[in-house]
Amino acid sequence: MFPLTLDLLRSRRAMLLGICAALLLTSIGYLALYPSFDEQLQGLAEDLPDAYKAFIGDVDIATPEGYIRSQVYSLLAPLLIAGATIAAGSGLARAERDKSLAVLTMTPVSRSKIAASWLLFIVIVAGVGGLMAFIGVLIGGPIAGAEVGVARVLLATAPLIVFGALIGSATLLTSALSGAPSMATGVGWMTILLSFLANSLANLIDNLGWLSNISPWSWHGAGEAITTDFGLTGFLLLIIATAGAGVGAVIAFSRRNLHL
Amino acid sequence: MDDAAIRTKDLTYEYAPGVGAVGLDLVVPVGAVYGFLGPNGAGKSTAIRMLTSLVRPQRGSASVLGVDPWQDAPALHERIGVLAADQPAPRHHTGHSLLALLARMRRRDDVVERGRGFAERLQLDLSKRAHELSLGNRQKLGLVAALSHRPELVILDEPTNGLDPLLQREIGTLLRELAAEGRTVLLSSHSLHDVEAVADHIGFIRNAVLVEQLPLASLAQRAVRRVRFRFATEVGAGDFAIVDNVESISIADDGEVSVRYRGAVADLLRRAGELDAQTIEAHPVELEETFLALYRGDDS
Repeated sequence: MFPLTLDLLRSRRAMLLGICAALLLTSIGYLALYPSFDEQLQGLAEDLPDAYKAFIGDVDIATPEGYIRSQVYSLLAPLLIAGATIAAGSGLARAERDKSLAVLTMTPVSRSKIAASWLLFIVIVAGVGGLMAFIGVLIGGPIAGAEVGVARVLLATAPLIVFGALIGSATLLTSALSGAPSMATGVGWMTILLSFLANSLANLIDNLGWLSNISPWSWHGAGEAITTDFGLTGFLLLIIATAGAGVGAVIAFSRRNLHL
Repeated sequence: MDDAAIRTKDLTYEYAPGVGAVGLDLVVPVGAVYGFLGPNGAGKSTAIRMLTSLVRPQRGSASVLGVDPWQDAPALHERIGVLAADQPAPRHHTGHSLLALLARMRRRDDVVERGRGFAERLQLDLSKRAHELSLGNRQKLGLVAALSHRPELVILDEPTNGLDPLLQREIGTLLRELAAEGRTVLLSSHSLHDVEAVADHIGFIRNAVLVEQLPLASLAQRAVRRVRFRFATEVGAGDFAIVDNVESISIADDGEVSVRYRGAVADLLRRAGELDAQTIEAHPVELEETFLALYRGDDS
């Protein structure tokens, strides 16, 4: 394990604990509410406009399984996990901006290893966030009346983790290229916003349906393994994109002039 | 083996014309305490960034302890200690946890023990978090981090910033001890006062260009000196016209003649003897004035 990754985990433990608590409690809380208004939801689902259905991930919220997807995997978990990985990815640029990185770059650890340590930190943050969503669904699913096995929840959560890692890696890549924390944070959130819009709304517009195919939001599939099949292609695309952004970040950080 | 700890040739990184460091031919002998002087913004920090692998030179080459800083930074960082200008430690770290992290990153257990020793000497409380420390104490923590692994070469960019005079003196003592152990020190500063007590070589950079580089003793040779005479008879300024290297002469109402000159004193003393000098009073070398002349760009 890289010592710098351990140090990042130690120093950001408050943020990690906060994200964990938020994911776990909101996942369980949302799912626990389902039995109290499942009948209203069944009526509502038939009347929802297409745009709103697209917004919540084109899932059938009248079923407990669809409700899990719409409440946990479509918005809540991706946003919380990506928010945490964006904070993690922009941390490299923040450490460069406030010059606290100087003391670390003057050790015999290469810059590529420093960037790789940050990448590993991002993957761990995404993994821990995914684990909380996983536990939340395992606990909350039966309360909502859903019949989901551990394997299905696991298959639904794995792309979510890689999606979070991808957003964090894209943020890290921007950090490594620019050294500007606000730009890195902005790119992270813009990636989320654009990929969400491309996935949810492009299908509603003629000739723009192809946009959803290149959207990372569609690749993670919003927990589709819960109701249908595991989207292997999207999962592989997420892994490839994450690896590409991560390798790009490591290379960029090792070759750029640092403002320290 | 190269007898220079740092040797650069035409080393250049220019942010804009005249801004940065251009065509540096630095030579820092092994075991020297090299005062790297110049006004703020002259290019000292840019040069240090190139020497410590933070910035890739646009032109020229650098060899630091025989290593190209850009090509093999980890190997170089194993052997050097660096304190960058205004370098804060990571906010969340205490001094203890920072030393522990550096020990893990350097894979050297002795870093912690040695760091504690330096901290005690500099009166630094290692239990406080970096963001709770004053500017001076953050500077001390940076120094402790830079020195705790016994580097062969220490590069310090404005190390006495924010430190009180007693601690400045303590750091001077520390640097002399390092030099006595055969380690090399590159000490960057905008103040001659910071370096003249410890340095044996100086380099002066102005407007991105290295304008002087010499042993401090040579600078003293070239420095302006002041000698005061009293003569048995009245003398005038013209009586010294035949003496080379006289910068100026002033004669007080009471007849005291004050002569400012550069270089060897023999000609001046000979002429004073011819004029029947009764008393002579020599003043210490005015290094400060030579330094200020370099600052102003008065190369004469």
